[in-house]
Amino acid sequence: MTKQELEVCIDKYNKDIYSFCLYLTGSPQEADDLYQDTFLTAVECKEKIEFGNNPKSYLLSIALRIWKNRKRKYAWRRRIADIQPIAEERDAEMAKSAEPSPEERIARQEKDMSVRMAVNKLPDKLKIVVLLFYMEDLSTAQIAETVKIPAGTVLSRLHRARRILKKELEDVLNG
Amino acid sequence: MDKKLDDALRNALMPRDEADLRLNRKIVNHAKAQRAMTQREITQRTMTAKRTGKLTAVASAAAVVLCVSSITVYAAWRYLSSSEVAGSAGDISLAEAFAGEQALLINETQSCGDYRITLLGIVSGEALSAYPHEHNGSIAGDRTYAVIAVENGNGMAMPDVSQEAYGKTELSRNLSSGDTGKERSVCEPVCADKPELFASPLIGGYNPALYNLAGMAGNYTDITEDGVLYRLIECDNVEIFADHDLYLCVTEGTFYNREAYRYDKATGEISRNEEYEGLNALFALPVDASKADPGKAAEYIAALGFESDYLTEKLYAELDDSFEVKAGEGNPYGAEAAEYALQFVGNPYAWGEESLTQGTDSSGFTKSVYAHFGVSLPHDTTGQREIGTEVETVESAQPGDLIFYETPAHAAIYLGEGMVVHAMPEMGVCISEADFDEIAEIRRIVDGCED
Repeated sequence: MTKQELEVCIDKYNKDIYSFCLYLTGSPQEADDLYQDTFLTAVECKEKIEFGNNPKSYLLSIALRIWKNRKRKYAWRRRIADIQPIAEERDAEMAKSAEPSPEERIARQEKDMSVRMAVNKLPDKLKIVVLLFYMEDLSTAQIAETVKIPAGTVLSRLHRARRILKKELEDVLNG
Repeated sequence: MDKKLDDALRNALMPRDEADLRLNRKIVNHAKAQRAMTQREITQRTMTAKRTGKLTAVASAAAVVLCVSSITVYAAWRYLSSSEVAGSAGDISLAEAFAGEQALLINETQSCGDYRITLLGIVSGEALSAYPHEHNGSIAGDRTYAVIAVENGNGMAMPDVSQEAYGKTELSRNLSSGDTGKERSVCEPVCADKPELFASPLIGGYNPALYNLAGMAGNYTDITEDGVLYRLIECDNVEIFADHDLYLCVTEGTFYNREAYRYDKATGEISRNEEYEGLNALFALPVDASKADPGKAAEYIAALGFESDYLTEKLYAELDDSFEVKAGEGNPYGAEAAEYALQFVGNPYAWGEESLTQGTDSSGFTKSVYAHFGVSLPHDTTGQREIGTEVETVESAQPGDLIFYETPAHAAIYLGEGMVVHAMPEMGVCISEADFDEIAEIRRIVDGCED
């Protein structure tokens, strides 16, 4: 990846990659590390990124690979770190954006919060697939490529994740 | 239910979080370092014997990488910060000032023709720099510093300040981006020639032609990094004028360009000349108005003494009805030339032009008047001052002699009786008293200089 490609990627996929890192690691510090390492690894890669293809899924796959390698290191740090602050920060930010009415806004925030908590509680395997599908908007084929699992496995994991979330969020969704 | 779940998930998980500017900048800098290291390894491997002077090769190789693709992306994080620029210029103390609270981070970009100019930051204050500016023997401590980043919009790297192309020609060279279909994985080291740039703070209500970097004990340092030209400018503190509009202008050239901007004397407003074809960026400086110090400002203006440079009464002069151009000796066309020049009074001024009717600047005026008599003069006062013979005093000057002034360089045609006719900015071709400004030199156009 050339420096210019790097700049284009940072500009274009900043949110996509950073949000993914944040959900994956659960802490801003670790997200910063993972985000940085992802791009630096991409720069080191001699192979050219095909810009016609999806550089986003390429970057996501790098992030996943690094994260899997370091999961143990990250995991013990995570026990110390608190996931809560991220959600609060983001909600404070969201509160600033224009929404119909304060009540509606609060209700929506609460709902979003519950959904995020539920996603966070999913086992990693399922969580990753859910993030790639709902957050990153990847197709199941792209997910298969990114996570390097068969497409059928992607579908079954998505299905399992949906079932768990549906049950978990029953009240929230119908309320 | 499934649709509800899908929507809820999409909504809640929408990527909203982003890495901040600092982190992105860190990554770009790291990547740069990585690349430089790899390049160095390659160089060392292939050129084990000779190591001298390879650093520049590494640097230019890294710069070349930039112009590979046609993808363009402009964001402030890709530039060095104003603090980093000051640091690269070797001024740690100023770097700290730019990182401190009193500094204004602006990061505003203006695109002008092929250029992309970004005003990164500005800081003012006492003794900020490790290298205080010396002016006329005394140390000027209270200064304003600003950093701009200049990029060429057509994707060419700005030349390294250490390279030969630096400072030689103007930048606006158009490279045909051509062969679009093919991918060029390796790019020729095409670098733009370094342009002459003029960047300066301007003060609303004060004539920008006088009150600019050149007039306010200014100075600048250029740094090129990764194809981006960074200019650190400094001049006397303009914050004391914060109750006026403050601007920062960027043009091509070495001096303030009157054509590029409009100055409304009535309102004091300075604006871009929309008709000007060329670089004429103009930023508003968001300086806190409470920083203004009108007393100090008045003192400063008085100390600069521009107001008295042009003696207004002498500048706006008229000829008596009885005035006649008298022929002198040893000056074959003098009286005729003076007489001829007088008929153009009232015609417009235009910088760089030399049309007696459509617009001319001062040296264009003297050149065109003498051209009428078959004498060819160069179109610049420096060159004109080498023509003919010198006349010692204005008392011994004869009609048709050329009178030259400095700062700003200016030329006029002597009429006799202490009067001159000349093309004056904002006034056009007009009559003034010869000593409206300090006379630098008087030249007589004699026979010998006829071509």
